[in-house]
Amino acid sequence: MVPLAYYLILSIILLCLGFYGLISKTNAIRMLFAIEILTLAANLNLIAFSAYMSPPIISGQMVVIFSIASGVAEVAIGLAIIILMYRLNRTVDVSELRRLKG
Amino acid sequence: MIDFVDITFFLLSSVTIISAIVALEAKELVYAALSLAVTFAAAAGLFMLLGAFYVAFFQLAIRSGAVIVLILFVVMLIGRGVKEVVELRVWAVIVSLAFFVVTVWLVIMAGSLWFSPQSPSTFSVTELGTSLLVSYGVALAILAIILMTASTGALTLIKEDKE
Repeated sequence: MVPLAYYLILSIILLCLGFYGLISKTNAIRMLFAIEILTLAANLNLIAFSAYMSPPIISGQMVVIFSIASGVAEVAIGLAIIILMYRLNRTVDVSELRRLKG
Repeated sequence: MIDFVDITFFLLSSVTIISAIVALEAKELVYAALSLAVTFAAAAGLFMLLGAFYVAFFQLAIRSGAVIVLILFVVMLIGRGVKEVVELRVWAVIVSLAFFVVTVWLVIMAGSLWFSPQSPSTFSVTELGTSLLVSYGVALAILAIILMTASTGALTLIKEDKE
């Protein structure tokens, strides 16, 4: 098997891609993609640590199952907010939503 | 000496990274959503490589299936003509690269992370189910409440007011 550090470096690469997307994009749907990639990086990290532990522990897999299931709730709420945003403002660009800015 | 598992790891990880980049940079949102599905599927392959078979199928069914269908539905509904403004790209690259360099340096410095065990450890579905209901029963109940609240909240948010 490959060393644990390879999985950590892959997870770091995905995390940096997520950061990049979250900072540079202003489209709300694209930001949701970036958040999904960030969550994926965290899940990969947990699974890798739980598999390489000796003896292996089951908590990592359980936490990832809960993380995936609650990620669905996050996506549902996020998409509802995006639809509402589009209906009220005819745009999903978060940089144009500055009605509350003085 | 490179064996089958190593080759599979490198293939799957490169597919994951490339499709994540496409998901963030593709011009069409539909292609981006499909590429995100590929990212999730490749990550499920990595989970399988680590011996977490149940989590891999869970990821395939829910993330790569249900979530992507939901996202595709919203992308089609809102329309593909949404204009995209990219700002702060230079700063985003600088921040991400700085974070990458620092954390990779930390991982390389930590010598205890470079060991590799002989074979992946797998848990049976029975063990997972027992742990889910015995050790994590309260968390499961709270998760059920969260999912119910989220679906009710999403329905309430997008309900049209009849005036």
